[in-house]
Amino acid sequence: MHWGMLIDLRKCVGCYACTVACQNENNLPIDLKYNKLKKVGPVGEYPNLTSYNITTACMHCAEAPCVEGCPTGASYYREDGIVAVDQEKCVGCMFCMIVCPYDARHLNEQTGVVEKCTMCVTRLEEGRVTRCVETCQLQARVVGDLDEPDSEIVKQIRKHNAKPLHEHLGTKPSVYYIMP
Amino acid sequence: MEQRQEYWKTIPASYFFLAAMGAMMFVISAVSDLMANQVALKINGWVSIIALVIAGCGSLLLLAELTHRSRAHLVNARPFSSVMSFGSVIQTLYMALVFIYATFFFSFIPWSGMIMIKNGVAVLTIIVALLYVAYPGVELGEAKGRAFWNGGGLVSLFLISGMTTGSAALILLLMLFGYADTAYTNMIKLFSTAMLLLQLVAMVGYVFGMKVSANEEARRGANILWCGELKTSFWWGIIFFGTILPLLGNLFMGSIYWLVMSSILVLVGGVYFRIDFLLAAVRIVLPGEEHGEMSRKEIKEFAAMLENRWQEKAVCLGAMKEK
Repeated sequence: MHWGMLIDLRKCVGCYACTVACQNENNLPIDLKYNKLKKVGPVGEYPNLTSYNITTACMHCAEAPCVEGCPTGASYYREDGIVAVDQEKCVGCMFCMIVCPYDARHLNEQTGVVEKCTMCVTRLEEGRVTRCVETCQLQARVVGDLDEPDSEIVKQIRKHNAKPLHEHLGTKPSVYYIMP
Repeated sequence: MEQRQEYWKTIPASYFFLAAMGAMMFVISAVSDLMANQVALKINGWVSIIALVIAGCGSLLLLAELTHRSRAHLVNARPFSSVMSFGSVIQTLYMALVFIYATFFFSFIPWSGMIMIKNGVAVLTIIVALLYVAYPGVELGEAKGRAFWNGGGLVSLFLISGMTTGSAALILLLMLFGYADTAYTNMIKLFSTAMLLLQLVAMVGYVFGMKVSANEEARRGANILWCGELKTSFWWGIIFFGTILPLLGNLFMGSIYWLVMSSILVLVGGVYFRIDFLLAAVRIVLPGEEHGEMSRKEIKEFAAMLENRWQEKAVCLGAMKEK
């Protein structure tokens, strides 16, 4: 079992619904976003220009620099592939924020610990999808088991040759993107 | 888009500086002791205690940087699971060994005459001290998205800078202990001069190497130092005042005052080096980041402004209803 996510950037209209839903689900302050949306482009050369939206959050890397670098073991791999943070062990050294190439971690100034996308692990354990997947009106997101060859997510990844961001860094992210 | 590394600033940089300076000062004096230098034999007890105090100050700075200081012991709970916890264990070991080594120099301590054991402890402490100076370079190299730190030369650079600042600190201590005009002080001065020359070549070489690197983030990081936001502190702070001027002072000025001045400049340059190299490592760009976005502080201010406006509106509407 290895939870992963696929985001189809061809469908994303940049409505921020996933960002706000994530903030709502995790009861985040207004300035803290686990799931950030960015406008890309226009990229390319005239007349072949394109512009699209992209959301980035924790990529739940299989070889996560944050886990490898965490001095206390607060950041750890769960058996289901999710990278989690044990709030009781985090000392707030911020080294994980420095080594994360995806800028996915944030220091919660109220609690003094580093937080990030949890891939709505409680919801997944209850058999529901993550809040961002549930909220996306255009069904641009799919969450599923990357170890299951017949799962929808794996089929879609294969069909569209989806890739993670910055694959060359070798962190083996569990979030894939279908690029426009 | 040229966002500097924004999480670790002056406090971790000062820790790296103090750790390297104190440990390398100890290494130089312990090696001198192993070579049976008479001055080293006289002062090494106090030099070791000062090295211990410096390491202690460094670790207090690290503690100050944590948001949950009461949990700091957890860093040592998994000793070799990460470079940082390895560094923490090495720091503890180094401090303990330096203290043990220092005890051999005080005649009221029963084992002060046991030369062989002292030399054994010295060798072991030198190895641990070198690991203590080098580990931050390995630690920063773990940041895969910050290519400026991924150069193989970073550890060497940390060691070289440690040697220049360590020898400068030792020269100042020799002055303080009244050994300003001895062959030993001259030897350390010569060593410091050689290290400054090496530092000049290595420092400029590292940044230039990154500047012409194939990796975009490495180039951006190097450009921040070479011709960007931190160019003044790099060229003037590290290179000119922290390296070239003390180098020329050591080569052409014979006076003790110049030696003191040179040593102080080397230490200041060492602080600049740690801060600048920490800040210059920019992260790999994510799609869309080229547009920039509101910072968390700006969002907070904007939200507070909106909230105030809504409150004013509510009061206004309430007043209108009453009328």
